[in-house]
Amino acid sequence: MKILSITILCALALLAIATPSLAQSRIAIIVNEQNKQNLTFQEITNIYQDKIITWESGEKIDVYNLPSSSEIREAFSQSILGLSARGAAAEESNRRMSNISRNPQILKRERLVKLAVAANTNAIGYISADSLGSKKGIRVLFIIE
Amino acid sequence: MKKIFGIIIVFIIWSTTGLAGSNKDFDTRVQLLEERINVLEDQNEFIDKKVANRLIISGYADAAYRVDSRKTIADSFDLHHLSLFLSQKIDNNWHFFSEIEFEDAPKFQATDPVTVHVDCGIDTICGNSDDSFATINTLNSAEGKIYTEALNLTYDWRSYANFRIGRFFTPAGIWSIDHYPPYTATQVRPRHIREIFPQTTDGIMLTGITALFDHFFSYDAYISNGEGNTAHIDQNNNKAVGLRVEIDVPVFSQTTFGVSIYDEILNDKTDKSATGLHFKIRQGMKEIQSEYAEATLDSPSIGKYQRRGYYFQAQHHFNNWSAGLRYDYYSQDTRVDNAEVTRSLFSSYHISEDLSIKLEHHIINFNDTNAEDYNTTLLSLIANLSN
Repeated sequence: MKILSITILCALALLAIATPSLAQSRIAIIVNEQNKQNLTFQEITNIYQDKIITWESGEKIDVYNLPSSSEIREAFSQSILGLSARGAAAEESNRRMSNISRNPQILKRERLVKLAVAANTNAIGYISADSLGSKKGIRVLFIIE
Repeated sequence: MKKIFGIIIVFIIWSTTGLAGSNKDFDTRVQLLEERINVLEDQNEFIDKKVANRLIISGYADAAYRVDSRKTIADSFDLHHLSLFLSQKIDNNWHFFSEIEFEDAPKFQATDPVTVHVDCGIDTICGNSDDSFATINTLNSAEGKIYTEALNLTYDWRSYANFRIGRFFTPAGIWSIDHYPPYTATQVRPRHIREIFPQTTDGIMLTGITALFDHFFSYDAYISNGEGNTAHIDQNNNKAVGLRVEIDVPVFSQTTFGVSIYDEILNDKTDKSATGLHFKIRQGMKEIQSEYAEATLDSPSIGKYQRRGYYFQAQHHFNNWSAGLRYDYYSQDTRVDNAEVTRSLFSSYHISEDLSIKLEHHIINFNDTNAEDYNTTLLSLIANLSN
């Protein structure tokens, strides 16, 4: 029984190593155009890790995120959080389940994130840089290659 | 020529008047659409507010098959947990949270009957019997439990100071907080968890996080009824006090170090003080975490002794897979040689965001030669409900 269990565990571990990863995408981090605060890369990480929850003005940050099945979220999570999209979603979900989430994130489809950020002065979000189009109502903080 | 010129003038005047008319129609339609958008935005805002403040029901459930090397323990299917969370944002500052756990399918009617004296002329439990004694099932020895693990109200004031009152998980180390099966490495927790710091406690807590340069400090300070008094009236006047402090440094993907302390006098007058240290480091998909905890107990009946436990766990995540190992030590009383060491090997696969499967193998050895060493293997399926 012990040998069988160890064999299965080793097989699962090998499968884990053999699974391929996803391609990279260009991502634009956006805020509302009336928001003049600049953020560092580390501060964006801290916002999406639920450590920074307010703007310098004291207003609560409305953090927009994409569904974990989105390729843009996969690229964002790997670049900003050093995690897979599903891993990052699990961390967020764990915070909510453990009642330690300080600022729950808002999930939107990518095509709605730009509109939501343009309409909300306290919002931050990210979308594919290729789908930026008109920048009316938004300000681009970073383009992550 | 004059006739043609006249016709052109008449046509221009007619078309301009017509255009003005159509512009007026267009303006009216735009105005109607604007009004309609305003109404829809208003409705949308109302719905958003209703949705944000609704009572949310979520939870998790798990089922496992357990194989045990001990001859006295049968291999079995184990439907261990069904936990339901009720939470609600009451307003911009207050929120409610509760967890109700159903463990091991409670029996509402026990299987061991007791005999009671009843008047069978009146009492219907006798059925058709004419005896004055009846055998009935009672609730006294029902197995399993329905337990309110958490029930609290939190006032979110500032990120550095929030206030919580009610029943909450004792903030100590890592596993006591991050302990939900959908997110833990194994179903079996390290042995010292809940043995040194109590699992839950009823009281008040001040919690917060603040930044200093690139470092984040978080804390949880609490006063509570203490161990053995959760879900009861406090049986002593001594309140338990505790503090958990954690520092998050910007090294690797995640690096956190923390200290936990706890002090109280138990119901049997035992003076208990506990200390814990923990750290977690993650770089990319590799993660290590460790906890050490020690409690000194000074009991009027059995004297002064210590409990001690620690574990070291390494894990590798890859897409939807995780695999890792853990070394776990626990001694219930350091005066006697009864320490227990568990070596664990585990792997998990996330079938979807809300469904995962875990396989774990634990080898348990005791220092006490009279105790039987054993191995146990669990294959479990865990569902995250309404995530």
